Amino acid sequence: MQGMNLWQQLVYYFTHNGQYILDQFNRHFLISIYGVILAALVGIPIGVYISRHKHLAAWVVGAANVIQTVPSLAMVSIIMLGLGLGVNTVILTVFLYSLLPIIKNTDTGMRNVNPDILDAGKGMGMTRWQILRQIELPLSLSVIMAGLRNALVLAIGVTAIGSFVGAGGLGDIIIRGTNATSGGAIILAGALPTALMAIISDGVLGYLERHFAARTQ
Amino acid sequence: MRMINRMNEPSSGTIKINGEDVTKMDPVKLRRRIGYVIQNIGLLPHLTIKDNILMVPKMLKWDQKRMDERAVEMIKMAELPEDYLDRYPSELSGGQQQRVGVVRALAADQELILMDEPFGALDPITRDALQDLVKDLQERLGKTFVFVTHDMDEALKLSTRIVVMSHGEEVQVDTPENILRHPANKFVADLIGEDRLIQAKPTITTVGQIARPAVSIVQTATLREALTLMHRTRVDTLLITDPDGILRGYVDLETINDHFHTADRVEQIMNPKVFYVRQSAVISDTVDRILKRGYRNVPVVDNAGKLTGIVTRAALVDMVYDALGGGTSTGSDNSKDDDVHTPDTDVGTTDVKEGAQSVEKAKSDDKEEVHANNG
Repeated sequence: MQGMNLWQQLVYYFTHNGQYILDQFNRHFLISIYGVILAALVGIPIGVYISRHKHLAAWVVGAANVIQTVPSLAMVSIIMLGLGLGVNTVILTVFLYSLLPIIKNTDTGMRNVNPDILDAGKGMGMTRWQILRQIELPLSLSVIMAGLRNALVLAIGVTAIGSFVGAGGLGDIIIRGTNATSGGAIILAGALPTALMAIISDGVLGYLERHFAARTQ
Repeated sequence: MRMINRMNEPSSGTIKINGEDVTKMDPVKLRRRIGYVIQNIGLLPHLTIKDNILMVPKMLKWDQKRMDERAVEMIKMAELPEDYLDRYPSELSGGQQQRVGVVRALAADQELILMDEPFGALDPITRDALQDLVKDLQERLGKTFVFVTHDMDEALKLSTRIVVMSHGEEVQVDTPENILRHPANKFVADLIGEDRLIQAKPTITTVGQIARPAVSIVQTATLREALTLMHRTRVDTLLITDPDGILRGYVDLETINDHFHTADRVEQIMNPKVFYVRQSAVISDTVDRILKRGYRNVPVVDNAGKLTGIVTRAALVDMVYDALGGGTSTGSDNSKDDDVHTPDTDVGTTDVKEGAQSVEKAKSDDKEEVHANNG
């Protein structure tokens, strides 16, 4: 490693630990995506429900907002008190952080569905379930997608911190770098893939969002 | 109107469709039997025109083949090209979207169609075309339409019965003809407007009354017979009927000339697309349609489609002359006293009967109806 500049060190690290980085990358991504999927399973129904019961919306979104204000390191630590070290703690943290954007966007999306279309649907004899399935959800899909996109980008950041409680992921590599003397290259080897993952996720979900939006204008 | 398909629940009274109380029916099943057209169209933007048209048939679980055929039939009825079926609503103009909105309400053969100011947001030309479409569909399919409008011209043009409503009360229920001739009170007279009252003054109000005998020939006649008849009666167009007198088409001198040596019976060369009016149609509406389409004369038929006469431009001139020359002394007195509503109307009880083909309600709260009918 002596006599190499930062860039050369980075390439060296990648060539020698490629498989390790890839494993951590996958682990990191899975932790984030599990958290977001769980949050979607819980958050979308909540969003649908509060869009129908407007007095509840302020309370639910307020509660989710409070969760959001807790710093992620503190959140991970608090949950660790309950669940102990390990990957479940991080997934739960990601889940909690993802709730707000998902609930809020589902609620907004459902409310912004053109009331004339709902009236026409009901007037033609659709059941409430059919209206939800065939009108409201398809028409608010792009807004819900935007919420998932926010949540996933946020989740990737939170997961990096999760390494502190032994969940693994690219955060491990970053911590290793901070502990090593002149570990700049190792820090980058963890940080760059993390950033890349966030950018790609953002791009892919952004594409889906626009795709769904195109037909609903 | 929204109480009929139970979008709103009636607070008192009952609504019956063919004797069945709607409040005793399952609202979802009820609504699938009733066509519904709203002012803001309400097509689903994420579905193709075809899927939009087939929404109710799909809910009723028709088989695919029947639905495909129905979609084609419906888009034709809307007078739109067939390839529009695969387009999305945003690719259509507002008028085209509402055409789809209208046929969507007919797609599952609903016997009753509710229309809530369906053409209010459209430009006058498109509105006119859609009114013609609805009138045509109603006459052809014999469905019951309940149509809410603020536009008195629209009400007079489309309806067979008008219910004038003011502040939630029925003010007058009658045929367009009778409303024009005998407005129940000053409120109705104001709503109709002085121009239309003058127009309606002559005793002639239906097409049947100004029709003249038509020159017609049976479809099995030879071209030579047709030509002889034309020569004898000095006309250049002959109406063609079947042996029972039902109107089938027409043939003009030019066509006979072109085919004189290639065809021998008039039914082989007749043009079956003949524009006609019913003898019970109100004249002011017919005047509009005849003038707009530029026909020199229009055949008149009775309800069975039997040819009973013809309305010529000359007859229309006579009528307009009588109307403008004879009836100018009927200025209403300008006293501004408030109109008295008769309070004995049974609010909340609307009995929709099969016979009444279209009932119109002209609400009065905002008097936005414009353009007097100067046909």
